[in-house]
Amino acid sequence: MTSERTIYRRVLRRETHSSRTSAAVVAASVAIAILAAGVIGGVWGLLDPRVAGEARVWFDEAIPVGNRAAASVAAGVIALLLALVLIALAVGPGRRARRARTTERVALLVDDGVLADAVADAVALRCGIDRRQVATTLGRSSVTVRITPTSGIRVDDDAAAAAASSTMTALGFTATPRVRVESGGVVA
Amino acid sequence: MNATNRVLNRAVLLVFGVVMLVAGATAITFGLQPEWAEPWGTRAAEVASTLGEPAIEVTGAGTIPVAALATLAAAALALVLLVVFVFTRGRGRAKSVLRADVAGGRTVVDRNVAEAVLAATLAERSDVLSARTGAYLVRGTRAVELAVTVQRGASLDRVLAAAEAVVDEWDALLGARVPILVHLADRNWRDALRHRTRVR
Repeated sequence: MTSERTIYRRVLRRETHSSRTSAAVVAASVAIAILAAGVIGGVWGLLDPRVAGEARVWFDEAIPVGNRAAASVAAGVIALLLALVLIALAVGPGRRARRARTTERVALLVDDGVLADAVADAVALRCGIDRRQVATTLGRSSVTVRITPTSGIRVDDDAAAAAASSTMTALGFTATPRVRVESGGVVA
Repeated sequence: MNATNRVLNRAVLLVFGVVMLVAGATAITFGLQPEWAEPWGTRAAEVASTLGEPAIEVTGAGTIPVAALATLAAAALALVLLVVFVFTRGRGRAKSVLRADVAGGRTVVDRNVAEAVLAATLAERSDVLSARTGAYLVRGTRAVELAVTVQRGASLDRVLAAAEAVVDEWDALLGARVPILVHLADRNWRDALRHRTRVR
């Protein structure tokens, strides 16, 4: 039996980072398709010696000798770009937009989108403006609130900041609020 | 919360990435400087002819070089390993949330019980769009994931308090403490089809 804290730590670390399973499965599936084609073609070529000659004729028609250098460069560039994506996926941190903590009883995992919605709702309610006039972005340790005021009505940005941070602390997360009020208002 | 080996995922991505990097760099170099490829081409032809010499007689197919057979076998092995890799992703789900061996028998609590007690109770709330549970084996211990999608405008601390209250009831019902992950999840495209009631 592993202790509950150990399990929570493991689960929360895994849930806040991307598993890379989908990328790895896609890469492996493409490799499977290529290898399968190679094996089938290889066996066929061994059993029937004409196949190699036919394949060469087909290849020469598909990419004439004159175009071969250009085709090689183009294929190489595509391969390099794919390689960079694959290596970035392999070594990148893969942090997901979620935050986590443990309470006395449970492990808590909250998607950043849910928190951003809650913060925007709270700010809109506190400032007495429409929810559509508030946009929220969550960073790792900050929450940015962008408010488009109603024309002619001042927005209290201290109150907005307080509403944002109190929403975060109500769930046990801390983030520095940054409030930006757009200079141009809207009619609402 | 599954038990997928993530190091292996990243290792597969890294190996493919490095292979593509080398292949791409080689293709670009030989495409720009075709004369650099010539010595390599003759070397490859020499190696191929030396390796092609030991051959075996196969009835019906003539002589087949051993090197070609070995290459095919290696490719087939890699193929099998990759298929195994693909089909071993996403493991670690458990059918039960608790197994207790007592004198004279064993008590097993199915994961549907967790779904009915934890998720169904929460899903009845007006500020919760949907709730579901999953049971997983984490390091040999059974753990429960309680994923809750909240309504637009819901008070998150109230939903969390409700979730903890449900967990308390669950603890009392079960008589044992099972690790539980409460996940307040983003709405996905399916939730967009559910009826929307904004709550304050």
